[in-house]
Amino acid sequence: MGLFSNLSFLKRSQAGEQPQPATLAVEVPPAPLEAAAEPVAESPAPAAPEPASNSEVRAQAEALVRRVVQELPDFMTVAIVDGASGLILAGQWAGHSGGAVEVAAANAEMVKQTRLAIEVLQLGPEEILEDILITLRRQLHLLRVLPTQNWLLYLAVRTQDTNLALARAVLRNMTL
Amino acid sequence: MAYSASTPAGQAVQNIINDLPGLMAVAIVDISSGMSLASHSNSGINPETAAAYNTEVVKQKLKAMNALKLQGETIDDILITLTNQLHLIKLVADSKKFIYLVVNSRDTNLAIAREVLRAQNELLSA
Repeated sequence: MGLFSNLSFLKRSQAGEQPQPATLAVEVPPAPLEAAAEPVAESPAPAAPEPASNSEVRAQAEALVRRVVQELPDFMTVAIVDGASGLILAGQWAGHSGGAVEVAAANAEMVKQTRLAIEVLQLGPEEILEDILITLRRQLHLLRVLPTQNWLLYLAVRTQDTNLALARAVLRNMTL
Repeated sequence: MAYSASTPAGQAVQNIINDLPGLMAVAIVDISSGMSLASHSNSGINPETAAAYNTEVVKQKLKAMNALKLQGETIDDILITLTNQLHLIKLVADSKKFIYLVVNSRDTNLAIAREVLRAQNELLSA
């Protein structure tokens, strides 16, 4: 288990790839973390230090992740994803973590597609996207939209550990 | 009525309407083309349009699953919760089609909606 922000390739993602549209990030073929980290060693690290506001945002995101972890100690993955870029701002996972960046980008893209569908269907201004639940055979993936920052709170749990009502109740209480 | 009850997809739509007369919209969608095989709407929602857009939602999630390299896991369903509506996407056993259902969350709860869609699984995977 480790904080996403401690990984060097994520720092590169945030500093260097931010202007890229999320759709580009989605096209990256799934690769193990080691492979994703490789280009960092070859390309020169960005010289300018991160702006203070950026680290503040990440501290906020990390605090939120810690609160979710506290309430749901049996989690598999908890992550805060920037809805616009699809980049991970903070996250923790238990055990296997391969492909986390691709998953985050794909999830952000999925929320975008859902929003687009809602818009095209003209459901009216009172219908706002609250969350998206994906039920797998043995896992629940829950994506909750935090409207104030356009952040996505992504939670993956095993159905044997946590039920949907519980996971939802915890995420519903998570606001900054 | 955008379906013929003589096809499995049309029959499934008919069964769902019978079970949930208050539903807002329903469609059986082919994932590879994004087009619906059968659909019905009791509201302003155009199920054909919804089918096309939701196909992309499903494809994005399949991509995310692929990135996670989950072994032996398949997507059962995707639920989109809006302020007053539930949008439920239920993948059919062979993962080539999905059932798209929109209900008002005041009329139908998730457990009922899921059960109704689950009952059509066999009919559609045939």
